Amino acid sequence: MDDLRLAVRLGRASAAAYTARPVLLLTGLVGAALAVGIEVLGVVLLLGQFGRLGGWDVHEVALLLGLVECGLSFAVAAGYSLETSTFAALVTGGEFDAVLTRPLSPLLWVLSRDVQPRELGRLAVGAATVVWGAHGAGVRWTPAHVGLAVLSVGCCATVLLAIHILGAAVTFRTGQGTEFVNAFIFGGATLASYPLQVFDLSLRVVFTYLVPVALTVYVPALVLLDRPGAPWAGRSLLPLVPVAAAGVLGAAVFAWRGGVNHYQRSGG
Amino acid sequence: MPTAYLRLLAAGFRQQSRSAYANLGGLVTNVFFGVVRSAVFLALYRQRRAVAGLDVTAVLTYVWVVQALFSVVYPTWQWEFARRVRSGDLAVDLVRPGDLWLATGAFDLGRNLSQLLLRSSLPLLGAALLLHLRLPTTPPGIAALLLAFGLAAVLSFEFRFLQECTAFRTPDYRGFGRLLLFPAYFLAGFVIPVDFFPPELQAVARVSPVYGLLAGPVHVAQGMHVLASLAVQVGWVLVGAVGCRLVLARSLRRVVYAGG
Amino acid sequence: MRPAVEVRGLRREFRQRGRPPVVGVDGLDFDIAPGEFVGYAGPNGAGKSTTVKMLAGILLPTAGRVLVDGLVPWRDRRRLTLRMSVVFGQRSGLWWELPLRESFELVGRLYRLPAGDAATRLAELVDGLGLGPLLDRPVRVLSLGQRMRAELAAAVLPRPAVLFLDEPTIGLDVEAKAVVREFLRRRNAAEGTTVLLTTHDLDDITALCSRLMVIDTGRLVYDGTVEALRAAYGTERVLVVDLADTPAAFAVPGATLTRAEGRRRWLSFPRTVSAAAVIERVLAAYDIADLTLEEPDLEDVIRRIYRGEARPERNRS
Repeated sequence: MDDLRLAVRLGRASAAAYTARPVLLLTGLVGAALAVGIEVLGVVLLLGQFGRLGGWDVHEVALLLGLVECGLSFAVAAGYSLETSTFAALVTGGEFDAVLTRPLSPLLWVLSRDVQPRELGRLAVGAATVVWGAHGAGVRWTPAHVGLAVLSVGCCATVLLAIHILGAAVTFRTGQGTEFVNAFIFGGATLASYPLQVFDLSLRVVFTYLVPVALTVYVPALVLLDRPGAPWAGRSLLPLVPVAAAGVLGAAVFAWRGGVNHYQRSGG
Repeated sequence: MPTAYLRLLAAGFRQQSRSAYANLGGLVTNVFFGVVRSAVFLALYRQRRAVAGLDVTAVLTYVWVVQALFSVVYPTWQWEFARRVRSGDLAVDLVRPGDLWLATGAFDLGRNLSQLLLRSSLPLLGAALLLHLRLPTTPPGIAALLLAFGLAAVLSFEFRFLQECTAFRTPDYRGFGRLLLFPAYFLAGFVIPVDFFPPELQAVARVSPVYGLLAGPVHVAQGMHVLASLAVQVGWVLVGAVGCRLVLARSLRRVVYAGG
Repeated sequence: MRPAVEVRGLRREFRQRGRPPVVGVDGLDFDIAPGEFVGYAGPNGAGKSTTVKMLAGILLPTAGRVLVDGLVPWRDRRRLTLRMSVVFGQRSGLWWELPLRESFELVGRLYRLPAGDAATRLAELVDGLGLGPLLDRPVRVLSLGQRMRAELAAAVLPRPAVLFLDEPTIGLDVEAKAVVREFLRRRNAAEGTTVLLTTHDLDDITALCSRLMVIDTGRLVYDGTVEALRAAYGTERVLVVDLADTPAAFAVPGATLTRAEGRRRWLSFPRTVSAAAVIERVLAAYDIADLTLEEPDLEDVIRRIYRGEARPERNRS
């Protein structure tokens, strides 16, 4: 816990350092906001033409998209140093040696080294999208519903960050960044921003039970929207959401430790 | 002298071909996005036959052409030129004989053609077989599609080159890049087909410089507005060439002055 | 007293695909006493950084035993990180974009230093290294020399019992090197910090180290004082004589004339002959304008050890 507090402090400091480059920070913030903005605009225009997607209207789909983007913003902000090529360079360049001489868990040290404040732009537009979508869909913001939205964002961020960590764990062994990670992070996030019932059973099962990105967003959204959900991914899975997120993170941390051990055994 | 640029083009092609399958993950990412977006459109079209002039086959064609072209529009080597500018490595290129812009462009085009031929075409061909996409089958149609793809690669270079020239002026060039990129991609039809845009926005998109990056080749593949699409592409390729040269000339003057 | 660093039979192999393993470090034995300042030299690939990595807990050994400040580095890595600092010459442990002051503050927190104590100590270090004017600048804009001074301050801030320095003066100009050396010398003297200094720069070693270990192809080929190395394996000493006028012939018993240029003569003589005796003979026979005595170059001595021309017996273990 002490480690975590320290890491939060270090992460805050590294994010705050970007204020020394206001132009980069500002363009980054607006850019990240635009990245979400075009997705939202896409959903609005698309459903303007088609009316409904898998039975959901534009507000309901927007709610999903907003939740995913909020989760993604935290995962990208925290996992920036694990980004495939950056992390591969850290490992192959021997810089990870220095990480191991610090009095902090190596994972927390790496994560806290570069926290991206520009992701606040994504978070802001994502949150606004959630509010707009929920309003249009008639969601009443009871404390329980607010808690549910927060749980969803937190668990979604956890799962996406865990995928990042898993990718980094592989990099310890291969010495290369793997783009597969992006298929799961950004591909998974994209998939989770649509109602799950439009996908094949196989995709549904993979992204609900194996890489539970969709689970963490779709199932809480079902409860918020008071909808039953797709077979194999119904709202009764709600208790599974935090369990699955914690489980995936645990597995990722375990794999990371294995990666660090491998690094210490092989000499990088 | 032109043979020198052809050599560079060939060198770029060879360099990229060597690592064509090194990054399988990138290919998998492309395919995965294609699958997700196909599923979404299939669901949307479950109760509809045609929307805004597009039927489901046309839209699936859109999905997979965009996936094929995206690695050309935003290649892995984006920002390489800008990095050379910032690091000062560009000085090495400047003392070489020949024209810097043509040399950079020839090499870039070579890499992108390799990307298209060896890599991006694979998911597109796979999808064409599995999903019965609407791709041209007549020789003139195929020729038009290849031309549209080639022009997209040239346009992609010009578009990126102009962005990367901001590195001459500011170390924060990537921030400005992001600012421009997302609206540009949207306008080019990356998120949804331009045919689904409201009429006014569609009119703008149809003649915009980024039309030729994605939406233009998509239209050529679908067999819609073929000649108009190619004309817009050619027009912006020419304008882009003039623009690149002017911007580069001005930027280099600044560098020379600044360097004393 | 317990040694600060204890190494026994330390061995490290690197496996290679389809080929026999390469031995990086092959049976090292040494102790470093608390407060010792030890230089660690050797050609590239000799096993220097492999050794340091094992001492710092970054790399697991294939065989052997290591205790650093009483801890097994790879097993107690986290505990050891609080008592040991490592400075890698080419890598930064500071925060690139943060003002130096904040970087130091974060280091203080990282090592759980009481805030007041950290501030007093930092003021002292900043003073000693002349970092005052730099405190508000981000590390990114510091010159290499300024950055290295900052890295050193950060490294000694938590009062490590053991300090591993990997090429700390590489790429620095003469002045910066002098500042770094003076700082290290004082810290070692004042606080009794145990220092292991890996370097290619033999001036670092002559200026700082009471003891030198030389490693080649994974084995220690020398472990002893710098003077002893010079005395035992040094080339002959050289007396440079500037004559007042040009004599017809120049010869000095017990010394060999190796070079002549204008009125200058180079005389070399073995260590068994005293310099005073040679000088006396020269003064007696010739009219002298100036005299200089040149000690053998340490670099030259070590180069000869690497080449196998001089294979000293280990005179300490």
